[in-house]
Amino acid sequence: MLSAEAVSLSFAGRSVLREVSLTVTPGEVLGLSGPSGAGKSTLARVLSGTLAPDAGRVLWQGSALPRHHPGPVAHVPQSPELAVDPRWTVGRILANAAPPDPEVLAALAIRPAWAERHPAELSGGELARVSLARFFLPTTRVLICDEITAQLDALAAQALWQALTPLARHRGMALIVISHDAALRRALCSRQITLDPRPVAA
Amino acid sequence: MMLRVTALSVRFRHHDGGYSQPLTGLDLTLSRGEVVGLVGGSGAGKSLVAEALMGLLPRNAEVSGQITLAGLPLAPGQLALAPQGIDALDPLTRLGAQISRFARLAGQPPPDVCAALARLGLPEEAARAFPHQLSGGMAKRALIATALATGAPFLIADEPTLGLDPETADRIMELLAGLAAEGHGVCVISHDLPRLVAIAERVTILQEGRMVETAPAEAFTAHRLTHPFSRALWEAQTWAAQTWSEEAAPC
Repeated sequence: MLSAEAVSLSFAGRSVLREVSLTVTPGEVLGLSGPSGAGKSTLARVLSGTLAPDAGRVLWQGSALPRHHPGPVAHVPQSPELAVDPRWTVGRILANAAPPDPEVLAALAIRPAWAERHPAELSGGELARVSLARFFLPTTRVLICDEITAQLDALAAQALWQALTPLARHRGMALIVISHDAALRRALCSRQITLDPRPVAA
Repeated sequence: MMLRVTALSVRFRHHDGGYSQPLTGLDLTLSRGEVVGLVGGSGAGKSLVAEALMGLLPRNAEVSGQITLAGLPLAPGQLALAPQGIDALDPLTRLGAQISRFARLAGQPPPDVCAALARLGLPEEAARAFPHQLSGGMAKRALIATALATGAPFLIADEPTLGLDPETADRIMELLAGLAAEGHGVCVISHDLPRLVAIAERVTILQEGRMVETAPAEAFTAHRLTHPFSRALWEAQTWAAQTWSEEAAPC
């Protein structure tokens, strides 16, 4: 369904991704790990079409990734505080790309009372869930979850994954789980890939 | 020298004249030479405590209770915060200049930026980088570097291991324990309970704006927590390893 073929990318002469290849099939949960700075979030941006690779290609169902927004591959960013407009209310943020989906809001324990608030008035964990909900769209076929439960306590993380994974599976959505938590990846993922930690000058 | 927080409450006044009170009656002590933990559910008010102590809350916030250092009101420059969100970094300033700026504003001599970065395992080149050129984990460590540059004797680290790989997370927790050993008082807000209890003297647990207990760190590992919420929080740490191991193919 989604595949990357020998994708490479450098920033200012520093090679971040070197010939990374992967495939993701519908309903699959793929784990992605690697040390801090290994290029996990950069790969997520390439897979979602936000960044173009220097070499290699990303294919969606055998052809180039669609350019329209929202596309089939969504990247839920690691830092939700950077991904929302601080002047918008939570209600407006959630309705930005598509009407909010009650099933998704319930799964993520997003409270109706937050709708009138601004991002700065939510806690880090609350904002992380809002950020996730706005990428969980009817058009999303692959959801890249970039450390989405790192800001949650263990109880809330458990509840979130136990609600999110069946919902994604039910909709035939694939998940790419970026996490430093090896136990979590083992519990969730049928397959895992690790990015090469050694940066090499291009 | 002890930082003492007594009956700290925060409420917000809303446009319609109503109030919400996200924090009620928090007591906390922090001495030089120790690490204490602050944990709790998402939205429990942990970061709010840090912002209240730092005086960073917006104007519609009303803070009550006492915050004293050695019996006197807490003075500026005594307490530094490494915030949770990397949006606290200035997006238009190179990292080295930001670290120097924190030192200058705190009245410190110009810092050795490379040493400050190396202490957090960041490469020398990071000094010339803008925040958007850093990975999430590198930016988190940069925030700690800015807080340390102030030279304040007391430090609050809000989720210092967020987004870090296990080795780097261990290293950051060791660094915080090392700061305490050098005479700092360090308060660590974290969801990473196993790493936190390994370095903390005691941990205060918050649930929806109220403290449920302050437990010595060994109470976690020895299963001697008194409050059901604290126990649930601790036991949930191992859910991924335990809960789904019985299900052969979870996906």
